[in-house]
Amino acid sequence: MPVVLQASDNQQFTIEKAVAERSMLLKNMLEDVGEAGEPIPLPNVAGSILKKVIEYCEHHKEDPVPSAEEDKDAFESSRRKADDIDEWDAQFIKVGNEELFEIILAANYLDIKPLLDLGCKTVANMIKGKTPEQIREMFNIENDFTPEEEDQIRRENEWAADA
Amino acid sequence: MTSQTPSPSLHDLNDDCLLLILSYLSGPELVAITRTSRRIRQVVESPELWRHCAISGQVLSATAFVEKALCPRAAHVKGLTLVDVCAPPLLPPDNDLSRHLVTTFFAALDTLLSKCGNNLHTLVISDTDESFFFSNFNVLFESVAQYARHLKRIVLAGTEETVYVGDSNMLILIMGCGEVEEFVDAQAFGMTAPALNMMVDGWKSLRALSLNTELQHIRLFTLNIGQFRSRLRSLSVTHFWEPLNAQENLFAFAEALKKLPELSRISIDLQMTKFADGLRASDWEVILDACPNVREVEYVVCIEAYFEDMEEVALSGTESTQTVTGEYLHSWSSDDSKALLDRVRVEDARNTTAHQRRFFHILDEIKVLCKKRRIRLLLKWSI
Repeated sequence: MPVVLQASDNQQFTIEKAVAERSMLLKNMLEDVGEAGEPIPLPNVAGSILKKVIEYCEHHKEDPVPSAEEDKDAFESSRRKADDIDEWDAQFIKVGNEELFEIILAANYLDIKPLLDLGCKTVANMIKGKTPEQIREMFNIENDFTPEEEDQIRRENEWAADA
Repeated sequence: MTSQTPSPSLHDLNDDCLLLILSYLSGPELVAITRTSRRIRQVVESPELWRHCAISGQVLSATAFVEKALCPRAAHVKGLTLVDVCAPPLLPPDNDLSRHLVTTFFAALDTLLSKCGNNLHTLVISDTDESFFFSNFNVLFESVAQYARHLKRIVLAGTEETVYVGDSNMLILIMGCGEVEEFVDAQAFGMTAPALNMMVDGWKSLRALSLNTELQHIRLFTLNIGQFRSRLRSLSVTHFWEPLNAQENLFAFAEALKKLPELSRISIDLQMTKFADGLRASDWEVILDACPNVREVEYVVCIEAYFEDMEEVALSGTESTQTVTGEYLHSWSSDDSKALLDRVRVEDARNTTAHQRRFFHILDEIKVLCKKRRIRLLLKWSI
C-alpha cells in the first residue's frame, strides 16, 4: 500500500510504505491511523525539500534501523567522527547552505536520524578549521557581541586560536 | 521555512540541531566557535557537549585546553579520553624543557581530576604513536586513584610500540578505584596473571571484561578468569597464543567458561586463525554449552582474509565506528551480514574461492545455531 505525502505547497508525492517508514514520525503515524490512503499533510516541509528527503529514503530503504541502544550513548562516547560519510551520501548532500539547513530541519521534524546526522556532520565539517569571522560569513551569522565582550572572549580563548 | 529568505543563517536551526552539529566538533574547536555569536556561545555551554571530552594533541595546547576549557566545566565532565598527547616536535624527549612540559601537563590533569572527582565514570587512555601516557602511568594513576574513586569504566589501549602498563601501576588503579564495572585492555601485551588476580580481589563489582589475550596461554588464562565466578556478565577475548579452534584448547576454554555461570555476552576475535576456518559451528556449540545464559554472541572476523580485493564491494554503504585502538570495525547484525554475503555472492560469484565458500557455509551454520538457541549474533568484520 503506497503512502501519499503532501508538502507545504500542496505538492503530492506517492511513495512506498517502506520508504515512508524511514521517518519515525511517519512510521508512528501510519501505525496509529492505519493505511487510510488519505494524503498526509506535512505543513513544515516544502515540496522541493520533501522530494530530496524522499530521494534519500528511497536510497536507504533497506538499511537496518539503528537500535535505540546505540543511540542512547551518542554523547557518552568520545567525540564522534564527522568524516565517515559514504560516497552516495556525500554526493547527495552537496547542496547550497539554504537547502542544507532545510534538509536538516525536515529530517529533524520527520525524525529521520541518519539524514539528520548526515546534515549535521556536513555542517560540522564546514565549520572545522574556520575562524569565527569565516564561520559568521559562511553561515550568515550576525556578530552580536559588544566590542568589550568580544575582547574578553578573545582573551579567554586565545590559547585555542590555532588549536 | 519558506524558501523566500535570501540568505539562510545557522541561527535558523533550532537548538537540538545546533547541538548535534556541535557534537561533531572537538573540544578546542568548540572553544574557538564560542566567539561567533551569543546564541552559539550559549549552545556550546550545554552540559552534554562536555560530558565526554577527549584530550589530545601537542602537550602545550593540551595543557591549555585542560586548564582553560575543561577545569571550569569540570562539573559536566563524566568521561575523559586521553589519546596521543605528544611533545612538541624538534624537542628531544630527555631535554629539561620537555620534562617540564610533561610535568605541567600531568599537574593540570591532576587539577582537572580533583575537580571532576566522583563524577568521573569513564576513563579511556590510548597511545597509538608514542608512549606518552604509557610511560607516565605512575603519575597519572596516582591522580586517578586519589580523585576518581567512583570510576565505572576504564579502557587501556596501546600498540606494539607501547610498554605494558605495569603490575604496580595496575595495583594503584585497583586499590584507588574499587567500583570499576567494566575494564577493557586493548594493549598489545595483555594483562599479566598477577594483574588479573589483583582484579579478582579488588574489583568486586566488575561485570564486563574485555582482554587482549593474544600472548596468553589458554591454560593459564582459563585458570585466572574462572576466579571471577558469578561476577562476570560479559567477556571479550581475542585469539590466544595457541589456536582456540584446536580441540584440547577449546575444551580448556569451555571449562573456564563453566565457572562463569552468569555470563550473558561473549565476544571472540580470532584474527590469527584467519587462514584456517576460525571457529566452526560445532566449536561454538561447545562454547555455548559451557555458558547456558549467554544471550549475545559477537564474533569478529578479519575481512581481509576472505576478500582480498573485495573491500570496496563489501564495505560500501556501511557505517564505520572507530575503536579506541584505531582499528576500524564494521559492525553488522546477522541480518546485515546476510545482506553483505548475498551481495558478495552475487557480485563476485565467479571469483569466490573454495576457501571463501567454505567460510560462508560455516557462518551460515553458526547463524542457524544461534537462531536455534535464541541468541543474538553480531558478526563484526575487522580490517
